[in-house]
Amino acid sequence: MLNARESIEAEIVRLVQGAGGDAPALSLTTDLVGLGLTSLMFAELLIGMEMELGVDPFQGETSIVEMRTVGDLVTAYDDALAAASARA
Amino acid sequence: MTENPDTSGTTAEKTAGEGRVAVVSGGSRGLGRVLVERLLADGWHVATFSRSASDFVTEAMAAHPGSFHWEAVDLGEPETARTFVRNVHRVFGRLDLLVNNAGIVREELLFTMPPKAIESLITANLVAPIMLTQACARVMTRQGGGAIVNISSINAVRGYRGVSVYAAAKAGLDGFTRSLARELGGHGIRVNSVVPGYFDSAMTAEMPAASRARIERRTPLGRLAAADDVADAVLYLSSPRAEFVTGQSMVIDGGLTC
Repeated sequence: MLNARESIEAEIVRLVQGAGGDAPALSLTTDLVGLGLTSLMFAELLIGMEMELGVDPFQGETSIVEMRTVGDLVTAYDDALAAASARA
Repeated sequence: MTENPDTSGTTAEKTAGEGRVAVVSGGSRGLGRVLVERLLADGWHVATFSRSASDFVTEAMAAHPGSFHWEAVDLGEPETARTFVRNVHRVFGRLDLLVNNAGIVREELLFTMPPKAIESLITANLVAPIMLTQACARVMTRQGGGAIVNISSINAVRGYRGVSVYAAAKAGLDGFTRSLARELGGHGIRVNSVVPGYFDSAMTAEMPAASRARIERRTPLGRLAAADDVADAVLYLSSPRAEFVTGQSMVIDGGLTC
């Protein structure tokens, strides 16, 4: 199965650096807003992950902008990947 | 597919869309079919969907195996639009244009319209195009831009009895167009709508001769539009000639509402 955590962290680093920041040290408890992620960067993250992993966990009531930590994101994507693989 | 000499395209036109990819919703008949034919003639790769395949779809798949893609998608299930767009991206590798053309019309006084019919009119004419737009815009922004053209209706501009729910959805589509143009401009994505008046279609074919004559009389240019008149506006808004045009609604009605 695809590794969501690695992809998410790589995309976050790319977004933060793209906004002129230094590559952040990330853990599952890292606060996303604390990293300086804006709503537009959340959108880019969502789009990038959908292109790379082929899933979008945020098609229900919850939006990606409600995610607080890297771990929240990893859990959401891991669950969506597991659900997609169970459907296949 | 019957080759229409007016829409086969010159060599120059064919290079205009060469290699670019268009999604046209509801391309199996009517205006959607005309758009598909003209985009193919201009060298575009075209993906479209409808509830079921028409003879035109079957013929187009045979005539353009590498540049025409069709799937069965029901506007009543807007979430399936996302899967369709994913498939289009897998098949053609990019996406440059979305034409939100598909829609359904039901004429009935609001007094008697069943709630389920109200919901399905709004779903097919407003929710489905919004969901399709979201899926397409996500692809477009990753590749640096694109164009979206929403097919609205003269009912969004002027009131007509019997079409209030349809008009609400189409007016919603025009509002969506303007706000989304602001949201996506910075991503190189232009969003416009084309607002057709009465044009020759299956819908107007059932119109009583007296109604048709009245519309022609009230239209400064003296006739109903042809689907090609509407398609011309869509192709203009899709082209580099309109690269500084976004957030606009272009009324194509021969001056009926001016």
